[in-house]
Amino acid sequence: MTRVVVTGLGAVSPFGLTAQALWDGLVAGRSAVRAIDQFVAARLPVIAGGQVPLDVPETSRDLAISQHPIDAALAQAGLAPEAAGIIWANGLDTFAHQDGALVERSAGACFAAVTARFGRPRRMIATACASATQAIGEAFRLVRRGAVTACVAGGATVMLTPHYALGFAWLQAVAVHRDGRDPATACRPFDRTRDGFVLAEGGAALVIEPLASAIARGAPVLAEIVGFGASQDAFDLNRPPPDGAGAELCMQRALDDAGLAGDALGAINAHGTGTRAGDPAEVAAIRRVLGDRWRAVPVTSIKGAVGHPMAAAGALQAVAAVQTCRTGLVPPTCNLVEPDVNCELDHVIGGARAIDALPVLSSSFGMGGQNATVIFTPTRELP
Amino acid sequence: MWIAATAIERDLGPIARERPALWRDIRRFNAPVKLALAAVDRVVPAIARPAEATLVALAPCRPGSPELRKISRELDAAFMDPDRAGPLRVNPVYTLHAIDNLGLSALAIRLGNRAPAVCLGGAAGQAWTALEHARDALADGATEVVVLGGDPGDGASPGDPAGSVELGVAVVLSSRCAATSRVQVLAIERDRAREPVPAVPHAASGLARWIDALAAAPPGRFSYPVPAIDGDGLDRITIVAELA
Repeated sequence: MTRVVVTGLGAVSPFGLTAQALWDGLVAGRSAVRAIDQFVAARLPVIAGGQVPLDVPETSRDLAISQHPIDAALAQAGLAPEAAGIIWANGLDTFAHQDGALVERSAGACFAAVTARFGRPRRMIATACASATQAIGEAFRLVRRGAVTACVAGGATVMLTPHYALGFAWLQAVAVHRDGRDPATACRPFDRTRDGFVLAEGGAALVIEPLASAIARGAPVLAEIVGFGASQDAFDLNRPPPDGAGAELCMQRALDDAGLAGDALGAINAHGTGTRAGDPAEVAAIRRVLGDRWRAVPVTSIKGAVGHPMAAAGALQAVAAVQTCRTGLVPPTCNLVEPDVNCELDHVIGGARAIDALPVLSSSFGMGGQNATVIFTPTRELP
Repeated sequence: MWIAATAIERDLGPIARERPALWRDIRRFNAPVKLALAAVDRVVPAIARPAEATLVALAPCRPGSPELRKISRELDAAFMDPDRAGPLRVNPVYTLHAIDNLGLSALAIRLGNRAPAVCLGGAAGQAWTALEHARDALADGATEVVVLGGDPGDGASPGDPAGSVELGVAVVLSSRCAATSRVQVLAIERDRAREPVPAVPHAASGLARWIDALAAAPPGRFSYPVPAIDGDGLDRITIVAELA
């Protein structure tokens, strides 16, 4: 079977405009979440957000936040876009102001503009917060079966707007502001005091290709992808089943695809958004997947540090998972101090932890019940 | 892959009266999602294992709804006048309309389906990508794929593309030739157009035109050149089928 590897990474995140800036911030255990001026000025109940430090006009922000990581990933891989397909997530339509008027920014139009220079396929994934992980998984599958010679995969979103902040507040999904609380600590995945996620913008891209072609091209081999799984909860439009059955099914399918048992994992990069309902459901699923080793596999979530960039979340997680494969470090879950009694796992708290060179599982779970998991592993012996 | 069943739903009017159980499930949703789910409802009898079929949904190319857009404009005005922003309340039903994977999620719940699935986003030409995804899923071991999508109507809200027709489409594709199968899809061919061509984003209209063309075609090999307006603006796409 074709071995599939990652040869390029790009990311824009609240930590900065490179994959390295994201990784450095995560490993340091810092939070890049801040009070968002627009939210404060509008006196929203939500003020925290993860904003990318990119100074571009509001009306071209969606394009820039997609374009930047894609270009960086292609440059690292030494690949022209015409030589690759793209499977990409752009999230939901959003809004911008132009000449004082509110204009809609179509995610579909953004996708079309960003992908026009690519070869085939050009697939736009829209499975909510699972989108980017699913995009990476679908690209992996197409490359493995020989249907595509190289593919860029990932996603970007610019949903950090007052409209979405208020909408998610009405759904009781985001952490509302409390007097005296530092916005940087608003999202606390798996913590006893967690009360919701923090909306963020960001984007990340991976170049995925067969190992043989990477070697032939002299491209850097950053990590290997060995498994992909997807599932649906078929439970509710707004919340996951409390037992995490859909998430478990998804992770198990990825492990089966990789030919691995749960106890072979070296670390898990969890969805971990910091919601009251989502975190314990994910923990229940992880425990069943890991079996007896659930206290021994390090688990981290990046969302305390960067917030939740929705459709792009899985792409930023993937960058972190690849970096874990390369460095042997698992970043801590920022703002996790005291795990909830219903969220007990081997959480990485306080500082980064070194692990052996073992596979890293990365999961994303979408509102509405779509789930996706991808498994990365340090590159094994090269032929 | 063989087409096991197709349905095109053009009118929401009779559903509440004629299919009340379905209406109870879908009445909260925006028009494209209602129509897509109503179309699927017609093809469900042709799905051998509804809980195990691969679902491939097409997000509405213009998600939301007239109600949600009105709310968004009101909110935007309120953000400029913060004294109004706090007390604003919205019927949460309308927030559902913003969600692009709503049709997929609702269908999965209706069918009790936990199989791997995908929702493709609202860019032009993704309907043909859905057929390619279905082909790949069948090649990878799935036995049935349900493709669904819906479009809002022309004028449903400001900015709707001219010529957009409110409709929903469902197509059941199978790896097996059933006794009732008339159409085998042989290939989805693409080559790059010399110059980008104008395309209109829609989830269902292009598929509906193809289904209509299949119905009118005589037995034998049938190549359907996807009209440029239904494509992705970059490729010339041809769907090749064998009709019994």
